[in-house]
Amino acid sequence: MNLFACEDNVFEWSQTDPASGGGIRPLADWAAMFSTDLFKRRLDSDYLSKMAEYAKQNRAVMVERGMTGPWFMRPKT
Amino acid sequence: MDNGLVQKTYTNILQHMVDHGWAPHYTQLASELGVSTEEARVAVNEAANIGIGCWTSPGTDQVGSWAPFNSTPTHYLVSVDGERKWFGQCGLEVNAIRWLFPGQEVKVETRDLATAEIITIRYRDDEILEVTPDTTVGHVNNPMWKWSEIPSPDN
Repeated sequence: MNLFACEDNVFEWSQTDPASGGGIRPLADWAAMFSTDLFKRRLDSDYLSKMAEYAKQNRAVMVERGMTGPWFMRPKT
Repeated sequence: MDNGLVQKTYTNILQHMVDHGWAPHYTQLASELGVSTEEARVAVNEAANIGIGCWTSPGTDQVGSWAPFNSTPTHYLVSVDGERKWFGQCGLEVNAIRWLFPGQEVKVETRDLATAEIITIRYRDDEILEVTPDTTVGHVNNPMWKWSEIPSPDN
């Protein structure tokens, strides 16, 4: 999970899986995904018990952003 | 598992990293939480095993990473209102650090792994103040739904 200065540079890194192009997204998408209560409420005293609820909200944002491919969500079998 | 103790342990470690930039040892947690050192050691490992981006350093009971921070240096250097003290866990979790510092400017500086080009991102709450270069992308080298299966994911 890393940042690169541009998409082309991802494939210049020796450790990049050549098949991982589907796992590249602009920063705005990651910023949106990491802006749900799953990340905002981490210091709440009841955070662990509410994680499942927060994860649903996070999934909705990912769907909204088109982050639904096999690099983001478990493929349906 | 004592869920109450695991929750308190999780929160205490994260708050300590917000305040200091590094994670406490379980002996310190034992004092702060009013439990035995063994109870604290077990609680740290149980919290680290929940699968929420937290883990101990391999072969130890010492916190290695507690999302969104890393307790050991990474190439994600984080400053808050001009004070550089924290390290981000990864290039994606750095996007979440701002929520732990409401109203303050959070700056992430890193280098491209292929070219060493400097990448700078600045946030204040919901506002993205700077992304340099503006072509910056985030990349996952392993499918996100498999992350919890990776002992200490680094890419």
